[in-house]
Amino acid sequence: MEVIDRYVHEIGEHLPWNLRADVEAELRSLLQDSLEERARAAERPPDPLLAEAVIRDFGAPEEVAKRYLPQDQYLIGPRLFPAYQLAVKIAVIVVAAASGGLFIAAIVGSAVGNREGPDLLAVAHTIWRVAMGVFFNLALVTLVFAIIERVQARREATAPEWSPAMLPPVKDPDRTSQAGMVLQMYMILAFAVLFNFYPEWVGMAFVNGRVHLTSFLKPAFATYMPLVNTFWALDFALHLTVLSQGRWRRETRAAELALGLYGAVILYLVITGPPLFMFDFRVKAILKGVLALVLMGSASRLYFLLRRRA
Amino acid sequence: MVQATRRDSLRENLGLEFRRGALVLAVLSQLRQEQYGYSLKKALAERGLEIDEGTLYPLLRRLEAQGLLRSRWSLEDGRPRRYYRTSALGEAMQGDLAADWLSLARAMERLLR
Repeated sequence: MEVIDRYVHEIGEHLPWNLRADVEAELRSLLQDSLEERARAAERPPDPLLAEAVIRDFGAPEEVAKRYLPQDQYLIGPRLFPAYQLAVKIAVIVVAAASGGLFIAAIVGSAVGNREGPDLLAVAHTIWRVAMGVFFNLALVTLVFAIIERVQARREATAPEWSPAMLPPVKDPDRTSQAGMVLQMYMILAFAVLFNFYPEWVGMAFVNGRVHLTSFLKPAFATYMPLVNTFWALDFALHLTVLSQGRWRRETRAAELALGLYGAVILYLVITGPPLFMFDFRVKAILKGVLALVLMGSASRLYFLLRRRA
Repeated sequence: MVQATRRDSLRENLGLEFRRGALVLAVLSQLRQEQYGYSLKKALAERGLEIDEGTLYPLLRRLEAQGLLRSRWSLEDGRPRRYYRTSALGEAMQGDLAADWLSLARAMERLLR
């Protein structure tokens, strides 16, 4: 019966290839059984109308196929979903704010010195870049959460049995806020993308009513990028680990301290290096302040670690 | 009218929830003798348990994937049929689940009396 073939084929289309042939063969045989039974009850030979009644009772192909698949398979499961929603909102807000600014900058920038009005091609080009930025951001956020989901699923499979002794105290300094961690990871990614792929945007500014896209960073800064990128990659991995573990542990606290010291070394090299920024002197004065804060932060982390060990 | 529809839908969902677990036990109990999908459906229906095919056949596959059933293909009257029966694990599981079921049924009977 042609309608049964089409139905079985449609179910097969929603199944993984390794299940498809076997399930299709079984379904075809079972539907044929049902059809014959129905024909006997109706006291007439099987026909397309009876076949349609059989498959209508069976259900929509997508629904039937779904029941053949393993249950509870998620790209991003219910536990991480609220944090994922938050991350997507942050991504959309950040990109919307940046794109609004860029859009205005593109119109103003292309209108200046152009008597015939804004350069529509330049505006269209900016819109295209913004659209790609949105797509890239959302894809990145989804990818990160899918990785966390896999890591957590694997960790849970080997986790020891829960006991009340594992309950953390009410005031727990090691408890992490999922939203906070996600926001920090997003900031790391945003900085990494900005400095690596759009360094000219770092220096975008309005001066005397005109848009300047001259990079704030001098070419020599590129020699420091491998160090900075390594820092961001390690920081991102640390946040990912803490997020998947649900709280800070002694090892991750130690890694945070080591990473802080590595960041301080990079800052020191940047401060004592050749001119790297527009207004180099002023920027480096700010960076000296940042270095002092980083060192104080590392000292307090070290104290925290030693005190807990004692 | 809306109230009645909502009540029907809620009743269906709640009913499905406790039926879902019972179906596994019902299927395991009937597959101590080898059967193919359609004959199993009929056997269940004859004993008062109607189950739609779109639910039953995928359930057989899932139970097989969990090691509770085993299956083999057989050619009958020129038609290939997949026959299922409980594995050793499935039989042991059927015994355990049946004991749980009877204990639950006794408790429910006391609660609802």
